[in-house]
Amino acid sequence: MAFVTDPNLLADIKKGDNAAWNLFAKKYGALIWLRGSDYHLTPDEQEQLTQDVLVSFFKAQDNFEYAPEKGRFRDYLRQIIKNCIFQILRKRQQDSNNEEIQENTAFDENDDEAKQKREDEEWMAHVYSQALAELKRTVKPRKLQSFMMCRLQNKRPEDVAKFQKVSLATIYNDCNEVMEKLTELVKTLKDA
Amino acid sequence: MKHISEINLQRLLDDNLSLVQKLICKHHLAKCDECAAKLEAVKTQRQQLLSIAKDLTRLQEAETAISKTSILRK
Repeated sequence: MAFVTDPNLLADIKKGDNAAWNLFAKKYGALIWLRGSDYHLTPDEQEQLTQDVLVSFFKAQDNFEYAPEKGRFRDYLRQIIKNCIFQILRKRQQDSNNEEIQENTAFDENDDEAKQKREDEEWMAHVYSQALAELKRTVKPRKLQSFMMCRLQNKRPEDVAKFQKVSLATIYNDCNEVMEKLTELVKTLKDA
Repeated sequence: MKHISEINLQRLLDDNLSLVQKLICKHHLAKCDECAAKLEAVKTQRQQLLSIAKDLTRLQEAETAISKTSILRK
């Protein structure tokens, strides 16, 4: 629960600090946006969702009590996102005056398992994104590039070695070193 | 028994070992469950990374979309 346990940031959030808002929005905004696309929201609705979740989160901070034994931040955020999605879909339904619930909406319970899977995958990508951002600060750019090209872009190590004008052994060492650090970071961030 | 290093497992998957090294590795893998399991884990890890890479691209696209809205405050 790294975010909410930062006392300074928490205090800034409660004061309505714009920097705290932006920090949170940059960290979780894209994840919230993607959740909206999984529920087939329109781009305008996705923007609305992101705003709604951020506002809900900030409002909730007044009464928020840090209690890790009660659950993970991830689950807390997930519930806020889900509530906001349902509100948007209810509003859409009211606006369109439909008595029948449209297909491809969040109310399709048969689709719940697939949505849960997507949610887990997106959270994992979010964790890797945070971990890679951290590695950019601590690992040499060339080493990180080796890893990104080989392991994320699926380029052949020998091609990456030629591109970087280093030996093939260097590329394998880079990938190994970055993967070890990435695994450690992911482990600490995953269950936050 | 000397186990196969992580880097040599990676090289084996990429077909980047010499013929002799490859034969030694294959011979070892045939009788060492630990290294065989490690090789499978390396394969799985690579597949997971490629799958995560696709979602990382989607996250980046979402970040770009957000930057075009008024969500971030000045």
